[in-house]
Formats: sequence, C-alpha cells, structure tokens
Amino acid sequence: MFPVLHLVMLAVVLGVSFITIYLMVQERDLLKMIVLSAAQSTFYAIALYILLVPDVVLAYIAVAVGIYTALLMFAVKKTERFEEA
Amino acid sequence: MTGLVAAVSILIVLFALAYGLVVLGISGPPAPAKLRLLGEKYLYYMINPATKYFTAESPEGVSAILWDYRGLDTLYETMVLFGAIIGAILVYREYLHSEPGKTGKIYGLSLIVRAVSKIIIWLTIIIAVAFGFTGQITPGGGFVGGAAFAVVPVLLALVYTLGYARRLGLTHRRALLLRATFLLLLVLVIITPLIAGGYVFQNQAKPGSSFSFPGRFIDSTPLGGSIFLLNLFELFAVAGAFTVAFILLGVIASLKEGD
Amino acid sequence: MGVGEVFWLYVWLIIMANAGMALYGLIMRPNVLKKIACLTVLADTSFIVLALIGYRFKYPVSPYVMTSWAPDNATLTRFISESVDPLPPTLTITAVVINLSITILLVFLAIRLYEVYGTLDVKKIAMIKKELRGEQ
Repeated sequence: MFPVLHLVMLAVVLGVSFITIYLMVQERDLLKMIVLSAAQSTFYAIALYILLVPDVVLAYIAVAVGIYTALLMFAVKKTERFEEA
Repeated sequence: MTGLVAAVSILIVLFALAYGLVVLGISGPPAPAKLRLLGEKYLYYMINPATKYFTAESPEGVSAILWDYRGLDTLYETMVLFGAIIGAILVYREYLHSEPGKTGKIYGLSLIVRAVSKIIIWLTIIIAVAFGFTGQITPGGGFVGGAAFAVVPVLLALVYTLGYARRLGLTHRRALLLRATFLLLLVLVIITPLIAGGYVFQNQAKPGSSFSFPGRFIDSTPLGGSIFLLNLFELFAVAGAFTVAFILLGVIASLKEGD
Repeated sequence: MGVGEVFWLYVWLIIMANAGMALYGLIMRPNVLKKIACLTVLADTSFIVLALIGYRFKYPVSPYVMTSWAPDNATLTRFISESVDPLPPTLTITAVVINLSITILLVFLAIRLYEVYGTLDVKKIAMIKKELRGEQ
C-alpha cells in the first residue's frame, strides 16, 4: 500500500468537475455557461496536474481558461446571450 | 425522436468506451508495474550520452518526442493551425479592410485597470518567452509559450480597445507576417541538415550523416540541438496566429457596435 | 474487489458520465455556442483519458523530466522505474492545439451563421430554411 492522498484529491476533483459540467449543460444564460466552463477547465487542470503531465497543464490552462473563454465571450457579445428552451 | 437518437448514440459511445478500456484493458489494470516499451525507450534515449546516434540531448521527454522523434506530426499540426486561421480570415476577408475605431482615443476601462494591465501584459510576455527559451529543460515550449502569449492581444483589445492597439502598430497584416516569417524559419531549420548532406528533421548525428545541431550550451546546459530553435520559432508563430484571430474577432465585435 | 479496483471504477464512471453529459449537450441543446462549448468539454475529457493511460498507479511516481544532465546507467534505471509515460502527453499537446484551431474556426462560422439567419438556435434555423424553401 502506498500514499494515496493525491488519488483521493483526483477523485474529488473529478467529482466536482462532473457537477460543474451538469450545471453548465443546464444553464440558459450563455455568459454564466462560459464561466462554468472555465471553472470546469480549472478542475480538469488540477486533475491533469495530479496525473503528472506538466506540459499539458501549462498549455491547457492557457488555452481552456484563457483563450476559449475570451473567444466565446466575443462570440456571445456579437450574437445572442440567452438560449431558448 | 431526437431524444431517442441522442440517447441511443450516447449509450453506444459509452458502452464502446467502457468495453474498450475496462474489459479489453487498453490502459491495463489499475497498477501497471512496468512502463509500455515505447515510452520506456523514449525515456532511455532522450538524454543518454552513451547512445550517440539516438539521443535528442533534451532532458524533457515531451519536447524530445514533439520536435525530434515525432517531429513531422508536430509540423503538420502547426500547418493545421495555420489553415484554421487562414480559413477564419477567408470567411471575414472584407471586414478586415474597413478599419474601424480609428479615433485613436483610449476609452477603455478605468485608469487603475489600465495601469495594472500594463504590468500584467509585460509579465505575460516575459513568461511566454521564458517558456519558449527553456522548453527543452523544463515543462513548457513553443505551443505553451504561444498560447500564453495570446493573452496579450486579448488584454489589449479588452482593456485598451482595438483602436489603441492598432495605433501601437498591432495590425493583422503584421501579425500574419510574424506568423509566416517564423513558419519559414521553422522550415529552414528542418531542411538545414538536408542541405548539409544529412536527413530532413535531423537533430543530432545519425549513422551516415555527421551533421549535428549544438547539443549543449557553453556551460553544458542541454540545448536539445534543433529543439531549442524550433521551440523558439514555434512560440512566435503560434503567438502571431492567435493575434490574427483575436484582432479579427475584435474588428467584428466593434463593427457590430458601430452599426 | 479491492480498493484499487473501486477507485479505478469510480474514476472511469466519472469520465463516462462527463463524456455522456457533453454528448447530451452537443446533441440536444439548440444553441450553437453551447454546442461548441460542449464539444470542447468532450475533447478535454479525452485528454484526461490520455493522461490516465500514461499514468502509473504506484509510488513514488515522477513526471517525465530528467533532472540530471549527464545521467549514468543507475540514474536512468531509477528514472525509468519512476517516470510516467511521455507519449500520451505529447499526443495530448497536439490534440490541444488541433482542438483549439477547430474551435476558432467554429466560432467564426457561428458568428457568420448569426449574420445570415439572425439566430443561433438550430431549430429556428431549420424553420427559416423550410420557409425559404416553401417560398421558392
């Protein structure tokens, strides 16, 4: 048996990411959806960090939290904000 | 009806995932004692002074594979990114020449935000370039640095408005020129060994060709040969591509407000 | 069933649930921007899967970065016995960039779609197309 604290953290982070994705898919306000998507990316980045892939973490943080958010924000500003049922 | 189709397709995908990875055991049991053979070979050869013909002189595994062992993959990946940017420009070609927001007046966010953003922009540039320079030693590299660099045009457009960024000289033509120039330099580094009598994408000396990029800096810091140069050029190429994309988005967004 | 198997099953169920939720949003939600966001979530889940494939459930475990710059055989053996697989992260970085370029292109096309049809709701777009076909 070896130390498992990092694996417990991995389990918790993945569980929270599932909740975030559920909220994100349910959300009708697209700006809130983008913020939830960024939060989900942060949890995934923590999971990738625990899985010891530092290159992917650095690239993923910049892309998923920075560039996707900015890209979709621009798109929402240009188009419509609310999704109808 | 759509719901039924969605449910069936989701279930099929999920069962395929479950069957492929748990039953067939592609990833193996939860505690693989041994590494897969391919990964083991990469780790063994990437900085090994004893194996002259196989080493990449880079202590960082991903950079060694990305730019040496599987370099052609990465080259084509760069081409795909370039193609996506060109496609986006083709969709919106006519808007780029309309030159909106030429007042040159800074009417962005408040003074405090602008002062803080100035520091953050410079820090981001320094971090991004550092990622590119040390990509062969520590995690980081061309793509990471370029993606971090892309935060700069976003901040400029959000905080200072696009007109001010244009007055600073940040136009889509220049960004595209940056992209094309560094892509050309990248290709030049790739075909240099061919001109010198070796193989395409050659880094260190191989059997039949003694050409070799410098593997070590003066104080024996690993340079990774061509990996260092390729990382550096890729950094500016990716940064140029993202700058074009965000300038284009900013132009579109400001056109909507102007109408 | 030991603790290891239960943990592996839990992680795998979460990943399947995330992928399924992203697929649900991709197929059932009408807004194109939400479809794009769900597509990125689906891709991100595949990155987690790739990282899990390369990971080694043992201790100590280290990333694939060699700390010694002139390693001898003993250092190399210890490094190989500890390090995670470097190939899946490499593929993941390629996937991140390809996915990013796809997303950029999709967002531009979505804005173009809004300019043509005045909405991003695919059901409304289908109705408008049907009306246009009826007029002709």
